[in-house]
Amino acid sequence: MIGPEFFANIDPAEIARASGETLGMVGASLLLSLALGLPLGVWLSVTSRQGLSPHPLLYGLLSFAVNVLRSIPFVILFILLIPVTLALVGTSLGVKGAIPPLVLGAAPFLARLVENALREVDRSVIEATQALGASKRQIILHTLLPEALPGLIAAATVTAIALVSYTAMAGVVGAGGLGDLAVRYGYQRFQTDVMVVTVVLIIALVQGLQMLGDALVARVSKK
Amino acid sequence: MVSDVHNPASVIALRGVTRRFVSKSGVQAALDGVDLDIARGEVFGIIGPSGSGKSTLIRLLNRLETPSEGRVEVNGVDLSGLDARALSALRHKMGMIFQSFGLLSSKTALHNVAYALELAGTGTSGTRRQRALDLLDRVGLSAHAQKYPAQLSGGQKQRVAIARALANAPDILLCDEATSALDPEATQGILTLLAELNRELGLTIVLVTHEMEVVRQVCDRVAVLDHGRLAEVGTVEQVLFAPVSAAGRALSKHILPPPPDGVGEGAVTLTYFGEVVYSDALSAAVQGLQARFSVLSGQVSHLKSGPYGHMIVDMAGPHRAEALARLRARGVSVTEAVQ
Repeated sequence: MIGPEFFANIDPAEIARASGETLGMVGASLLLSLALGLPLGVWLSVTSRQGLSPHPLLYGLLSFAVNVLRSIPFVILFILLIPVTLALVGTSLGVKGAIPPLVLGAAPFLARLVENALREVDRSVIEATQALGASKRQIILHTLLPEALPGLIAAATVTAIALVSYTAMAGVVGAGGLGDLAVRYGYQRFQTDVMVVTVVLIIALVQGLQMLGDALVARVSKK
Repeated sequence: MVSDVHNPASVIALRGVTRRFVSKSGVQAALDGVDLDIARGEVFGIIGPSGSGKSTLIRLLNRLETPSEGRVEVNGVDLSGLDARALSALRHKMGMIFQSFGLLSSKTALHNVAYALELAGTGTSGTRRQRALDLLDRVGLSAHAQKYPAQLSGGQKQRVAIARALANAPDILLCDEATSALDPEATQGILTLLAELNRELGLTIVLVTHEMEVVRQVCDRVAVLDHGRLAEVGTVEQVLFAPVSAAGRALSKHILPPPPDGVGEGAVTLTYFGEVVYSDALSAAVQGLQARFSVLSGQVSHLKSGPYGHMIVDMAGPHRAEALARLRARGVSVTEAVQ
C-alpha cells in the first residue's frame, strides 16, 4: 500500500511554484500563439484554392513555412531556436526563454487548425453574404470568423493542450515548470513520488483545459 | 454607361453570354451564346434539367459568376465594368435567395436580417432592428425573431432569407432553386409570398427552377435552357401548352396529363383561357345537334395570368363540324390532333 511516507520528497511550495510556471508558460504562449496563428490561419484560408482571394504562390509559401515548423520535433525546435530566443528575450532558460520556441512551435499548428475550422463554414453562407454586397473584409470579420467560432475555440483548446506537453518537454532543456520538476527530481534523483505528482497534475491540467474548451464550444454553438 | 443594345423596358439584358468552365474532362460551356431580356416587374422563370446551366445563368446577374464572353447588363449598366464598391452597391439593390438558405447559424433570425442592413451601412442599430422586425413581420415570422436558424423549419428559414434579401429595398430578387429543398406545403407558402411581393412592391423576380409546377404558379414568362443553350422563351401559356422545343415539350409533359391510349379518329385538343373555363361552352356546343363528346383527358391550370384549360375530347356524330365551330366561336382553340 502507498502510505504518506511514499510522498516523503514532496515539497508543496516547490510543486506550487512549478505549477505556476507551467500555467504561466501555457497561458502566455497560448495568447501569443493566438495573436500569430489566428491571422496566419485566416491568411491561409483566404489564399487557398477555394478561398476568397485564391493566391496559389502565396498559399504555397505560407503552407510550406507552416509545414516546416510543424515537422520539427519540439525539443529540437527549442534547441535550434536558442540564438533567436537569446536575441528576442535575452535568455534561453527559464519561463522567459521558453516562450519564443513555444509560440513558434504552437502558432503554425494553430494556424492549420484555424484554416480547417474556416473551411468548415458552409459555402452557401459565404455566397449569401457575397450576394448581400459584403466586402471581403466584412465577409472575413462578420461571417467567416463568427460562423467558425465553435471550431476556433476547439482549435485553441487543442493548441493549449499541445502547449502543456511542449512545456513539459521544455522542462527537459532548461525551462521551468512541472516538466523541469519531473526531470530533475523524478528522473535524475529517482524520486518517484515527485514524478507521480507532476504527472497527475499535468493530466489534471489537460483534462481541465479540455472540459473548459468543450463547455465554451457548447455555449457558442447554435447549430 | 448606357449601351446601344439596352432596351429601356428590360431591367436585365444578356447579350451573347457564354460561360466556360475548365474541368478534368476539358473545357465545357455551361452557357453558350445566351441572349435574354427580362422586363421590369415581371416574374421570369428559368427552367431546365440539372446541368442545363440555369444556376450559372442566375449567378451571372449579380456577378457571383462572370461571363467568359458576352455582356450582362442590369438597368443598362454592363456588370463587367463595375469596381468592388459599385458591385457592392448593385448587390445591395439585388436580393438573392438560395436552395440552402445561406443563413448565418451564429445569428438569430432578427440579426440575420439586420446583418444585411449593417453590411450596407444603413441606419443605426436601433433603426436596423426596427426595420428587421418589420421585414420579419412581413414574411410572417415576427414570433420567431429571436430564434436561431437551427430552431426553424425549412420554410421558415427561407422566409428569413427573403426578409434578409429585401432588407435594402431591392428592385430585383433572384431565386436560385429557392423551393427545391422544401416540402410541398412550405413550397406553396413561399410561392404565395413571392407572388405577393411581386404584386405589392413591383419587385422583378428572376427564378431558377427545375419544376414546371413552380413556373406555372408564379411566372409571367419562362426561358427553357437545354445544355447551356436557350431552347425557347415565351409566356408560360406558350411554353406550357404549345412548346416549340424538345426541351420545352419534355418539361410540359410533367404538367399535362398524358393523352389516353388508343384515341379515336374524332379526337381533338381544346385549349381555352380565362372566362371560358367557367362557361358552358362544351355542353352548349352539342346542344340540339346530332353530336356527342366524351372527355378523354382534361385539366384546368391556374396560371399567374388566369385559368387555362387543356382537354382532349372525342367528338362524334353527323354535326361534329358544327359543334367544333361553336366551340371556336366561344373562344376555344380547337386542334384536330392530340397534343
